[in-house]
Amino acid sequence: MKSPRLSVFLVPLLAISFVISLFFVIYDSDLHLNKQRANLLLDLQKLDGGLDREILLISSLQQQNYDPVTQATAEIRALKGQLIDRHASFYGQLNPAFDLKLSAYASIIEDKITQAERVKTAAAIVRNGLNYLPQIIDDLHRIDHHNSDQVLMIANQLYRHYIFHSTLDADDVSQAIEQLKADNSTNPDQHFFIRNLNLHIQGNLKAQQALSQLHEDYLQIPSAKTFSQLHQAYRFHRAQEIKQGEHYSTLLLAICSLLLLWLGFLFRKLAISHQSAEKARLRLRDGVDSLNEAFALFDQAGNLVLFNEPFKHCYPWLKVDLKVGINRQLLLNKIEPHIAQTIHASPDNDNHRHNLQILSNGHCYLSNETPTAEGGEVWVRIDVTHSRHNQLELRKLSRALEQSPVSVVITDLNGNIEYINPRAEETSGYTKAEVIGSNPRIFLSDYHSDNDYQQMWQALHAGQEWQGIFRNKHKNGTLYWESATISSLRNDANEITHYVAVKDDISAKKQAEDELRMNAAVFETTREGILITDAKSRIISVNPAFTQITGYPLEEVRGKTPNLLRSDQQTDEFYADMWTSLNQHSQWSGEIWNKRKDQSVYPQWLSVSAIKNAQGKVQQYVAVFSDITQRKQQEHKIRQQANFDALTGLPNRTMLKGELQNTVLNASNNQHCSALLFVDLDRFKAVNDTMGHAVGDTLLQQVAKRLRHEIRDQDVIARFGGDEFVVILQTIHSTEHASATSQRLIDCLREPFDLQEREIYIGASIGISLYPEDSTNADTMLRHADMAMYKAKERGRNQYQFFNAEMRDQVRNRTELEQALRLALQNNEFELYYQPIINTRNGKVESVESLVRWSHPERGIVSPADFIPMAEETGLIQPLGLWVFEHACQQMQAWCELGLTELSVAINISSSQRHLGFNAAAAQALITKTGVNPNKLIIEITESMFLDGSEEAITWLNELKSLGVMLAIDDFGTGYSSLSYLKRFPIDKLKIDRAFVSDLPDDEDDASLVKAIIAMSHSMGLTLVAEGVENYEQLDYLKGLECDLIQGYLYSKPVPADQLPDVIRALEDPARKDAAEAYNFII
Amino acid sequence: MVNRVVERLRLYLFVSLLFWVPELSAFDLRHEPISPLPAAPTLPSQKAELGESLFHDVRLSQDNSISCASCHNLAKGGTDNQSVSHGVNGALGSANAPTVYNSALNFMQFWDGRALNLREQANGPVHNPVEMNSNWPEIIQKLSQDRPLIESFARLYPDGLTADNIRDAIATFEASLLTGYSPFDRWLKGDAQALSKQQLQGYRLFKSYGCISCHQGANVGGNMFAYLGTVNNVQSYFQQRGTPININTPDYGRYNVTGELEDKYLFKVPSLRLAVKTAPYFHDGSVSTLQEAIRLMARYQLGREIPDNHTEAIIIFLNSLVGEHPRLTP
Repeated sequence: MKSPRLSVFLVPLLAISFVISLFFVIYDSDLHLNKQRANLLLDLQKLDGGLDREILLISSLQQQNYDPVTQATAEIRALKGQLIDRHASFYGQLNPAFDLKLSAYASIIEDKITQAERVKTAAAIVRNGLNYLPQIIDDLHRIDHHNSDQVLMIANQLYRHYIFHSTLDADDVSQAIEQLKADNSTNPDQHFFIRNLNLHIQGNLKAQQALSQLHEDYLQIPSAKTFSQLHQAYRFHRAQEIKQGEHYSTLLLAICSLLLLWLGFLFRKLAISHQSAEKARLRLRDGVDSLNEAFALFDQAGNLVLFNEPFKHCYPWLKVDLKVGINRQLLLNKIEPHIAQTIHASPDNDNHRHNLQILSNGHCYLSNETPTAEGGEVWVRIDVTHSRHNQLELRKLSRALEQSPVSVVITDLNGNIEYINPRAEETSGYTKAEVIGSNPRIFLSDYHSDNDYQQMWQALHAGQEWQGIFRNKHKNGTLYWESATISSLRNDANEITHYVAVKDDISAKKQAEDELRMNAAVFETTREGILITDAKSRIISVNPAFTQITGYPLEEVRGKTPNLLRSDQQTDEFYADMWTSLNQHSQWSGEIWNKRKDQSVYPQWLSVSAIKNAQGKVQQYVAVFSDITQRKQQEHKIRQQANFDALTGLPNRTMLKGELQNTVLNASNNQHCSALLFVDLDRFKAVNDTMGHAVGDTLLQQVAKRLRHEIRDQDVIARFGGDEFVVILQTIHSTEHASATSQRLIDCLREPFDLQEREIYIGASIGISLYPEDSTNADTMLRHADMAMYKAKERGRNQYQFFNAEMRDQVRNRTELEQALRLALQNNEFELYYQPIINTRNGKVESVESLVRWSHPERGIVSPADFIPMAEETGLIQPLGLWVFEHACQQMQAWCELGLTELSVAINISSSQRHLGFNAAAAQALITKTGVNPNKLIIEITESMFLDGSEEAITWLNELKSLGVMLAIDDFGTGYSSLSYLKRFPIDKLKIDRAFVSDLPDDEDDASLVKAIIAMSHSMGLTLVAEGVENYEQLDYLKGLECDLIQGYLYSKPVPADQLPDVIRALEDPARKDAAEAYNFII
Repeated sequence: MVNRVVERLRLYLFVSLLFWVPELSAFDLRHEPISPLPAAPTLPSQKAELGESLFHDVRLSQDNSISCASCHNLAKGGTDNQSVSHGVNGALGSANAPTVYNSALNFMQFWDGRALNLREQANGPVHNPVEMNSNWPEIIQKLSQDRPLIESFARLYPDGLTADNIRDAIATFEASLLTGYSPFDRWLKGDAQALSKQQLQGYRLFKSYGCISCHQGANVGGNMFAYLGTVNNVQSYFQQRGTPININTPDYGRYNVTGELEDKYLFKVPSLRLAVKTAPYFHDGSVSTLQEAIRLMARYQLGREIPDNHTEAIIIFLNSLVGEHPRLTP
């Protein structure tokens, strides 16, 4: 239907636009542009001619003012510019061939202008020549009468030449000049004139020729021809355009005729469709009038188009107003006052309205107002006055059922549910849709037996009513209780058609009963005492726990106030606060001391709540409390254990720290001085070792007692650990106060102690540090006192010692060194030295020991004995150790590349490194990184590594060993380990400490020890290295004992890596068998 | 009594002159190779005003140091009286700056005629590295900051501030720089008293020596090319100048534009209208006095030596060519 209509509009539209565009094609290509172009060409032709004329005048010396030619040139140039301007009317508008012609003509014009300029210049020269000649003749005439005639003749010839342009005349002039020159060659005065004359005349002839030639060339420029070609081409183009225009006109005529035909056809079609439309309208009118329902149709503008007889009856008061053409809104305005109520029958959307209209006269219409496709509206009214009345009745009943507060379920005779009301949905959790058609059994839990149900059905089948209680299951699984009444429903014929169950949810009631029972049980059985009073604090009830805790049974306290429990431990304010809290927040809890019936006082944790009624008035108070006597005792014990030494009962180290901090804080706040005495018992270890720990403990207790006795109450004494005690003198007025106290303490401990009926003498050394002179914080105060105590011990027993400036310097020095050590790694101040180890059997250097050296930029070389322990304490040993390991490996690799492939390198690893995490994995990483052969690596460790003998230490060693490295024990003999003990460890080498070697072979003890070690190590398959060998006696002795390897100054001191190859070469040189010589050589 | 008669006669004569002078203008011009300067074209004065402000605008140069007026000082006869001009950063130009007065009458611009009109001419100094050393985008960018200027352009040109319109405004202003009403022009128009005897004598010599062949027309030159050394060998000109020919300098004249051998040493004939005010002379500015210029011109262009008294006479005539313009003689 759509596409033919579209074409009806589209085709003529297209045709008309085509006609219009055709018209413009013809119109636009005509007139205006053509006129412009024709004018341009005409002007050009005219100017071209003008230029020719000016040039002719100039070249014939008729015109000496060049302004007109300049003007002409400028104009012709401007026109030429238009000719080839792409934005003007010509160039690029017609066709490329024509553009070529335009360009050709433009370039011809340019040539012409250029040529014209040359003509101008040449004409000026010629003119000047002609101007000068009479003057030169005049000049000549004045000085030489004889030649002037001849010159005059030459001039005449020249002018004739100018008039006739004859070559003969030109030749004559040249000849006459030559003649003149020959005649006058002797006279120098005349010679100048003749020469000048010759120059000008020759120049003039040449200029004249040049001008003629230039003018000739100018005339040769084919401007006229080119122009006529251009003009012709344009005319041809125009002719073609006109011809094309004629074609278009014919086409235009044809299309117009076709359009007229089309128009006629359309008119005819319109008439036919009008007829059929009228027929359709009449048919529609008939149909509408035959409807029972009221009907009205409005058009797009809202005007009534069509309505039927029933519509008139619907709204009888409209009468004459109701006629075709009336506006819908007007109609609505007239209808609305008579409508009592409008009920929206379907969800309202803007377009379709289905309403129930109840008029004030009691009529009731179902009203449909539906939009038409055109945009109008159709009204339909159906009289439902009668059926609505019935419906309302039914709905009332239905609503009663729907809104009933009790559940109603209706089933058919087979028990299938046909209806449940919303209350039943809510109670059961099932929606109507879910249960319709199923059996009410789905509500049941398995609480009831089949027997119960059989009884129920028997009663129902018998037509009786059944009443009972169900425990049902909600859809979500929770259980609820229902009381139910089931009765049968009969029809008019008294036949049972349905069963109706009316049920009430009694779960809440049941639950409340249960809770009450449970609360009573809690009340009865809880271990916490409960007391309930009325609003005036008179006791109503107490529980058994109350009786148990307080000793009062209910009978004795009922009606009394809880004041009878009150002890006098709390102030009146305490109770006032409690009541304030109770009044404001309805509750209070806290610790309180109360009195039992037997008058004993005990702590309890009490919570009191005010119970208020709906109006916010207090009804009761409930107090719940527990006896916390035991908890209190435990807390006290724990505090005691944490802060006090179990043996002496003195504060322990933890508490001391706190006290010390308080002391420092107080002293700093109050600007007074304090002292800390560090007491260390002398000879306590001996007592402990000889008489046993029990006696030692007793001794410590007595010491503590004596010390406590000697100091003021405000001062603190603590056991710091073992046999160390610390005394804090909170305030001192002078250093003498501290020294006097110290002396007193020393004196009291000098007195003998009675232990196991023996008199025991011990003594004490005391270090003193003062606040604020020595230190301003607790830790340093302790450290300084400790240092001072050691000094005191060094000075002999029973001495006290103040911390002093010297010690401070030591501390500072140490701190600075520590700082420097941290920087040393960053600044690369460490260097590795290597000391060769020689095999005694073949005299070869078998390995070297790497030794770290620190050269500090200011301190110079720092002894490893100073910085290694410090590095261990500060943990810097870890990065330092890694650095040493890596560099030693790198060096080893470097030597290997130099050919020292058999050389092993020993690296020292300290026990601190192990604790700081150095292990096989770290070593492996460095070995891989540097690429060394692990078999040539020796790791030297000290005996102390095994002192703990733990499994971890063994594992650690085994893992290292598994890398393929060799393990050596350094400084062997200084520790406690026995050789047999070493069997447990994967050791390859032993290094005998230099202490045993230094006195060889004179010291017999050492000699026998070394002998034994060597023998045993051989038996265990260990290689032995002797360290610190410095002379031949030692060497010979060790060789005699078949010691395998020798290290020491006798062969070489440790040397930097770059010197080592030379040292090895010198040591191994057969010509220098003598080790001493080698040594000297190296020195 | 006689005195009174003479007084009266004088009065009559004056009154009759008053009536006679207007009649003069109706007379035909004297027929001479030199024509009077045309009246300044009635050009849109607002554009000329805008052009004048741009003519003095240093933003046209790269470092905002130089305007058109720097080398074409309107009070100094439209030149800078330097041999060659100074450009940005003290750079030295290569040719003598010709006067901007009456330049609209020149048939081409520059010594070698490389611009056909004043609009084209404006491009030259702007781009020349030893002159303004700038370019139009840069200039437009700078001028765009100037709100009043943008508004002026918007008022006068449909497409506002563009390079074309800047050139047009400057050219419009330059076209208004005509120095009419000179004694010689008045004489040409029939005022017999306008020239002194000496001036007339100078004019006669100017013609008889042949200077007039090239220096003719309204601008007394500026409408043709001529070879430097038409009669004499041009090499001797450069020899006496003291500096050899440099192909990078304008010494080759129009050859630098066309590349044609015959255009070597071909130069635009300069206007002599303000010659007495625009020393030094020639394309290279190498000649500092008018006497020397006339002497050299006679030698190289006419092949003649000219006596000093004739030179002076010609200079007296040249003075009569100087006309009036408010910017020239305020």
